Amino acid sequence: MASTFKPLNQNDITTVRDMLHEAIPITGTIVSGTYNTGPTDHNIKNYETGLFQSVFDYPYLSSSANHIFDLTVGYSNVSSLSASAMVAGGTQTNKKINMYNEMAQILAGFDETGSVRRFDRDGDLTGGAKLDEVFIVNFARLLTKDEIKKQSFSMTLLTGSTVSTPSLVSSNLLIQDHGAQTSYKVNSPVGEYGILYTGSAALAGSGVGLIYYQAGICVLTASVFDGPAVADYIGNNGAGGETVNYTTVDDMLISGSISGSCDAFRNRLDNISFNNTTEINSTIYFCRANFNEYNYSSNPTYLSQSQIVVKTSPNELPRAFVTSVGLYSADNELLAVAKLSAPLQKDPTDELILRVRLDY
Amino acid sequence: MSYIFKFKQNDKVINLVRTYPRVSFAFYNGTSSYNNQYKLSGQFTSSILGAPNGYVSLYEQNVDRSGTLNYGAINQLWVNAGEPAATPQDPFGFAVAQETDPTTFYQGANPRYSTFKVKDGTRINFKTVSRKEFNITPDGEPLFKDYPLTATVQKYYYPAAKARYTTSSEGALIGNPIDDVTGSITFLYALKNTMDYYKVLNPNYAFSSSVRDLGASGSDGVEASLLTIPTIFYGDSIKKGTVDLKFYVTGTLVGQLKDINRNGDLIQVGPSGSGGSGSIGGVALYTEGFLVLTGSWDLTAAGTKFAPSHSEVLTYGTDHNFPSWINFAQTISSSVPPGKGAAPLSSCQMDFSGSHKIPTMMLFATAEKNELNHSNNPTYRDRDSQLLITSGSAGYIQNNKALIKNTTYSIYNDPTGSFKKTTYISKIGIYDRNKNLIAIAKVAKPVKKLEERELTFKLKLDM
Repeated sequence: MASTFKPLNQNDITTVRDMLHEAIPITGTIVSGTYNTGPTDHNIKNYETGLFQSVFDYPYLSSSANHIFDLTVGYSNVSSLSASAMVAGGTQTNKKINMYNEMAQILAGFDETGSVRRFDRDGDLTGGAKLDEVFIVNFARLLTKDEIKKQSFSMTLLTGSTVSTPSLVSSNLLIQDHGAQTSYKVNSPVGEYGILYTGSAALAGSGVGLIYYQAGICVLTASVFDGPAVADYIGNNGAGGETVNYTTVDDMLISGSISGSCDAFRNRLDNISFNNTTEINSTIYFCRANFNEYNYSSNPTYLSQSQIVVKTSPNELPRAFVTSVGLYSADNELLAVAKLSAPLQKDPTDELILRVRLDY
Repeated sequence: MSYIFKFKQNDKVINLVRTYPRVSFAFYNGTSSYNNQYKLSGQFTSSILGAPNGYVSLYEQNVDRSGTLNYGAINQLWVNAGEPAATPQDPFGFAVAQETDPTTFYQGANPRYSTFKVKDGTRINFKTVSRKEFNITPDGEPLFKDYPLTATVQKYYYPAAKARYTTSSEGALIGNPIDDVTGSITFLYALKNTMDYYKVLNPNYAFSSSVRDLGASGSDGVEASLLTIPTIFYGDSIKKGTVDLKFYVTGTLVGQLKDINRNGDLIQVGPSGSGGSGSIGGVALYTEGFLVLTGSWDLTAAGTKFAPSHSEVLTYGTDHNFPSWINFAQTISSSVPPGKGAAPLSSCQMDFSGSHKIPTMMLFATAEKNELNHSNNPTYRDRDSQLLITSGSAGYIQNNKALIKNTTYSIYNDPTGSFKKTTYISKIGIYDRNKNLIAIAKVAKPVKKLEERELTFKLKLDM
């Protein structure tokens, strides 16, 4: 029973920030093949606009399915593919350019002339190579929570194939955000991002993609599918009814639809894993009971026949048992109650500091 | 865009919607089922939510996932790198640091997510990690918790002889933070204060009385059972008077308990002629979600409609082997001795309604006549009418004669109809008193607003 109020001053209140993480594995078995009972994967949703496709972890007609990421492709209007597509009558050319520009303006922003910046290979916006043809994986907030933890992102792609068996891959390409813990970039309008490399020994400028930690978006250059040979057959392998397997990834980006290219990417995706982060903000109130305070209670059970029941003889020191701490607003409204797991004895020979933590 | 009006007193209506979700549990042969749902099998698991029958999977996050992260493999890699064996490392951070394919750490198909927290000075810990384990974990190392998180109804049985608490004592190394303090109290005894709190409403809530003492054991003790119902099943509280317990033997209803007086007493109301009819078989703690069952009489006793007394083949695993309220749902109890408690001829059913309050706020946003007839949206202007005249060291000058795009309907494309100021309202922002945007309501399709039109939008916010 609250009976004594004591104001908290600034030395009694502090705030802390704590990080909770989840390890998120996304295997290739989820994103292609497993929920396929015909020409289509039932956990993949394509939209009438054809601009992107959504990937779920279970057939999306089930109420238990969770949306895990969106997938799209695009190239910049200065890409060689853009010109080729215009000449060759490419499929969804404008949509691919629009998707690139939309993602680039959000993730990379605008330059001093007001033009959309292109994705930069090494994050140095003053020059250098650009990523002009990209696959974009936009992870659901359910998975990334507040942000992707730096230096925990891995993606494994299956690269290389043969004419006779286009789905038979020759090697796994492991892509990770090496060194991102210390060398992440901050020159994006959506927060911090890291460079994706194919090895920790990779030289600066040899990145194959970007991972935007707070936005939860991975931008991957399409050139990762360029094999050593000219022909590196890639296609959607029959998914969605399209059966074309293109000679190169560039051919696919020119002639294939966005959803068909996304299907092809999913078929080549072996694994994605990362740790996410949830930020827990807490306020800690240090409630101090000095030696001469809180030794008495106005609880009705404290007295019996005008005698303190917890004292066995009149010579004993007064004492009380602290069971809970109430936090009050400035106008004495009870806002929160903290309970102790067991009552705590308080007498004039003791001082107590009760640490009350409030998480938001 | 960019018009802010203040809600008037009559524009805000605050309501409380009260819902009563119906909940049903069936118990048979060690398993339970919730609302007659059965678990769905997937490609990788026999239960896509990773929870057995009778459980709810909180967040339903790991759908159709069966594998785990193999911390042994991670540690082996750690040891191979010349480091001493240690507690499990952060798996995916470790994979990047070691330039290793993280699938090396996968055990089984399609592994589940797992959550972890690096131990630091904040001393924040998972509830499932003991204080001892937390204390011995060095700073900077992760503490793990596996998914899925699940909840279900649980049953606890307390024989008369069982002590309801053991006195606490510190471990051998007093003051050593890694030494556990022994001593515990049962869940039943932990309800002592709660039950006593309600005894002013109903004397049968009294934890200890001249009739029975739930805290005593031995010769003064009484048998008791406790059913715990997690709050996710009922919301704010169980609706008073809705608890309905049924006990079946070989498919025949032999006993039914209901709170017909809505005061927490679970009274045996049927079936007609059953043993102990009219007696109080227990009490319900509606807000807390507990049923304390004390009725130990034989529902099939001699002289009743269901005589002769039924005896279970494999026993209930309690001190007596006949159907009673103490033995209600006993087959799901973890306190049953091995090889006992299957009670294959008995089944039980529990029904109740939850009670859940949803505060809602209704807001009426009115666009008056002659208001909201202009937009700062760039597409509001005519495309060929430039807004910027000049910009430089001398100043920034806008065209004050920029033309507004005429969207007035006409049966001809050109010329268009006579100009009317027309806007299309696509969303409404709600701001707090400090003009912070706190909510946005979007309309399904933009609503046309003309100067002579007055529109009112009804916004509902569930909290």
